[in-house]
Formats: sequence, structure tokens, C-alpha cells
Amino acid sequence: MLTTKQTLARLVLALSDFLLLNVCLYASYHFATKYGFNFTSHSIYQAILFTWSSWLLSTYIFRLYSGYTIYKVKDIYRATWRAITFHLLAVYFLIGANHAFPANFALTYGVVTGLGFVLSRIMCIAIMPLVKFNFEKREANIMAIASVGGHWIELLRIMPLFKGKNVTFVSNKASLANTVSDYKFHTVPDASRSSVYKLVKCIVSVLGLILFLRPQVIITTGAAPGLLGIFIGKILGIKTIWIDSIANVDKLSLSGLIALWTADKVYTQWEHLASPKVTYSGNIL
Amino acid sequence: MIFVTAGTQLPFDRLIKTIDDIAAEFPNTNFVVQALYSNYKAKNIDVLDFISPADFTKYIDDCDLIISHAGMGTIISALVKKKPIIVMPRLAKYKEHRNEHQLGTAKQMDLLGYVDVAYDEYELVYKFRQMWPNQVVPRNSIGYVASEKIITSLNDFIKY
Repeated sequence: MLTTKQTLARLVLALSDFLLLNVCLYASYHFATKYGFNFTSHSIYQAILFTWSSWLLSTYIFRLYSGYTIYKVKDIYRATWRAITFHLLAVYFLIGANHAFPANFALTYGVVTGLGFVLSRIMCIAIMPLVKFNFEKREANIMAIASVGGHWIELLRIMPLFKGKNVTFVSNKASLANTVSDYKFHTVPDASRSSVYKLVKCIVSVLGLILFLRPQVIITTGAAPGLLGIFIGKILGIKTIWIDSIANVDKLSLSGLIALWTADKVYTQWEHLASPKVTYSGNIL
Repeated sequence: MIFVTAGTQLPFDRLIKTIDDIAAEFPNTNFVVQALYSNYKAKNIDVLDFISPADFTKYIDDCDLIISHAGMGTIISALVKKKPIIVMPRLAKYKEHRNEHQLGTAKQMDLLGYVDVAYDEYELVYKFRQMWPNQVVPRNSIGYVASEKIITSLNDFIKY
């Protein structure tokens, strides 16, 4: 459950961003008219509609104001720059390609908004330390991915982690739903290194699931769908965790090595494989 | 009953052929065997292509001994249910797997005293003759869930 402090922080952040967005829109409108462009009232409404709707969409996708994100400046940052980039691209394509608007209007808007948000986030750094959140109450929407077989059995070993949390399990075999009957479960097609078609199918369904469920944390014990989840999660600013299988005793798996430069945290289950970038904290036995 | 499982990714003829030979030697013993179909046709045992997770659990529960490839899924299931298990690692040199990780797993599990390991067909036959039917005891067992250490670390990373 959200605490009052959380709700308040979310509200303040959302409202101040919305205000800032409109100030930036007005400023770029002001610059454009100053240099001799004429707006029809229709095109002004259009601009407002485009900016509001694309901002709504981008904050929704990147969960900028979620109860999880607002705890840390770092997390607010990574949601913000993704949301802003997505928003400006959307505005650029909607307004830039529209003849009702003067040339460079989208560009002016982009620069003004970009600067505005950099300033607002610098203020964020100053304000956030004053707000003391209780991190014990920080609740994440988790997506746990593992392929059928050993990967899945290893994932089930860390079930105490998921107790009482909002978790969705994802695998490539429907019959595994029975083993996590208390939780939501989805299947995705498997991917392999040999078939491009299967890979694309897997990417599409993993992406679809992530956009639909919008998890704040993705945790996987492996194989292809899990690795794709890590990739897509990283792009969307989701916290990603790769747990390398206990079967990899001599070295990290190939997928684990790829996850190493993508995932936020990579675990090995063998102490001798630990390094500054690879965490060891016991194993699932 | 002896439950033999070779996983569902690739065939493992070396294991199935050895079990076929053992079954000929012990005609009164019941074998349930799961392995992907391949060129080798077993004469003394029925090989199941795939078994459902529910059946897999049932066979693990009911059997007296598990013989399997060195897959961690089966090893963990056996250790949780306190079942004796002999594993034979798939070897990449026979194209039984993409890399040699099963050998590493088997060696480490052997070293830490979790499971019995047969590194080749001859050792499997030898170990089986030694154990079956009177010396079948599990080498080790584990709890139902992972140790506190990894779960705490994960939980902290999610929260902080």
C-alpha cells in the first residue's frame, strides 16, 4: 500500500513536471511568434494535445511517477531521461511533420523542454534528501522469468523472496503454471540461437508482456527469454537482475557474460567466479 | 523403481544404452526412462519422450534411485526429496551438449558430496552393481528453499 508521503511525493513531482511542460510549450510558442510566425488557434490546440498526450504516454511507459520510482533520485533520473527522450521524439514527429507549425518549432520546443527538465532535476537532487522514505515499505512489481527445466527449478528455490509481493512468472511451458498457482503466470515462445523467426517472435511477446505488466524489477535465472527480458528491461529503465545457473561452475554462461554488460546486477552461485562486477551471495542449494 | 531422466533438450544415447544393458542384467527391476527419441532403439526398456512436470514429481517421489544427466533441475529435485541419485555428465566431445558445463557441475557436486557421479558408462554400470538393491542411500539432502543469504541480498537490491 502507498503511504501518504509517497502519494504526496508522486503528486508533487507529476504536477511540477506538468507545469514545467506547459511553461516550456508557452516559451517556445512565444519565441516562434516573436520571430514572426503566425499560429492559428487550431494549431495551438493541436500542439497542446500532442504534447500532453505524448507526455502522458511516456510517463506511463517509463513509470516516472510510480510508487517505486519516487524513492530514489537515481531512479527518478533514469525514468526521466527516457520519458523525455521518448516524449521529444514523439513531439518532433507529430509537430515536425505537420505543416500547420512553423519550421523549427519542434526543435525549439525540444531544446527548451530539455533544458527545463535538466534544471528541474537538479532541484530534485537538492530536495530529495529532505524527504526521508522508509525503504522497507518500498514495493516493486516484479517479473520473474525462467525457461522450463533447471532454470525454472532454480527460480522456484528463491520463492521466499516473492512472498507477499506482486510477482508475475514467465516461462516457455504452460504446464508450469501449476507450480506457481498463487501468482500470475504467462507463457512466451522459446527462442534459440539458430532461428531468427523464433527469436523475433520471442522478442515481440516479451516486449508485449513487459509493456502490459510494466514491472519495476525483472529477475531471471536464465536462458534466452530471460536474457531478452534483461535487454528490453534495460532499455525501458527497469531494474534487471541476472542469476547465473549453479550449473556454471567453471565460468559464467555465455548468456551470463552478455547479461554482464546489460543487467543492473549479475549473480554467480560460486564464490570463485565472483568479481567486482559479479556478485556472489550464497547459492540456491 | 528406478527413474532415469536425460532432460528434454537433447538426446543422450550413451546413458540410455547403458541403462538398456543394465535392465537386461536386472530383469526384475522396474525402470521408468525419459529421454528424447534418437537413433538408438532400446530393447529392454520403454523410453518416454516427455513427461509432464506433475508426472516428473510423482516419479521422483515414488522411485528408489534416480539416474540422470548432470542437469541441476534433476539434481535439486533429488536432493530436496532425499533420493539417492547417480548422475552421468553429458560431454560436448560426443555432441551431447553445447559445452562442457555438465562435467564441471558433476565434478563440483561430487566434490561437495551432494551426488554420486559416474563419469562414463563403465563407471555407471560399476556403481549401479555396487549399490543396487541393498546399498542405495542418498549422499546428501537440501531444504525446500534457497539459503537466507542469497534471498536477503536480492531483497536488498530490489528495495534499496
